Amino acid sequence: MKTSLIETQQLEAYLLNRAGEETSLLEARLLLESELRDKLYWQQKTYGLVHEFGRRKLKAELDTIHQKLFSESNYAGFRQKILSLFSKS
Amino acid sequence: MEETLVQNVVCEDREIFFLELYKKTFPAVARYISRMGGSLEEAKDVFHDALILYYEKIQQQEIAPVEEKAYVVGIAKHLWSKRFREKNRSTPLDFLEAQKLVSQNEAQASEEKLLQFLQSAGARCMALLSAFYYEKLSLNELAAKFGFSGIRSATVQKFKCLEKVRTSIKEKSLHYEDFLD
Repeated sequence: MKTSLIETQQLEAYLLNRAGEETSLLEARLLLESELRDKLYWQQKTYGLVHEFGRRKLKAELDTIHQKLFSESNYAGFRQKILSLFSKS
Repeated sequence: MEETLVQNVVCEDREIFFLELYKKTFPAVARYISRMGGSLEEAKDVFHDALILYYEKIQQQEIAPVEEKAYVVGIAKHLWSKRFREKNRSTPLDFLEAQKLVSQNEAQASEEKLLQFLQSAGARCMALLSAFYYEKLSLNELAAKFGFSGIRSATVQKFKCLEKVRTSIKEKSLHYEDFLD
């Protein structure tokens, strides 16, 4: 793996508290190297956005399932059961 | 048994897992929301949020995927009462709360812009990264799903994507100063 990728891997291990013995060494480098601190900051932001991306993808899949249950004929029983709950005034 | 269920969510078609869970659990949630005066649309929203939280918990292995119905219904009830309280809030916001709300909205708008950009410019990388970090696919599964020759290649590609997305986020954030908080 390229050096930069190894560094990205090390930052990931650090952020996930899995760096083990390398933690102290990485923390020392983070104190001295602003570029590395910068990468750490943006990598953390990246994980947050990836998480949000995954959530939205799942939400879209759930919408599709809902659509399926409320439109396909083989789920008519289920659909009627649910709709009856909301039809009473 | 528990492991098998978790593996089903991770490896197999998520649609099958959620379709079954939907059929089993949504009627109880819908009944509750209906009794509380909510609409079908509100029941759906609350239920989806509960399913997402449940899924994330089992993916993190924070809970065992047993008694799923009771768990999902419990979360849905909690989410509903939280929303209901917020909707019926009668006291006006004080200055600090209002300020907090404004900066939360700004941060959300920034995240929205970035996600839209990443969805179009880095769709494959985002799909790969979310499959690993959110859906918790193993490297073997990642290799099979994305057509890599093996674990080693999947690892390299994952970190390449991470670097690429990290760089894009930084560049976009610096370009649009208000992109991130």
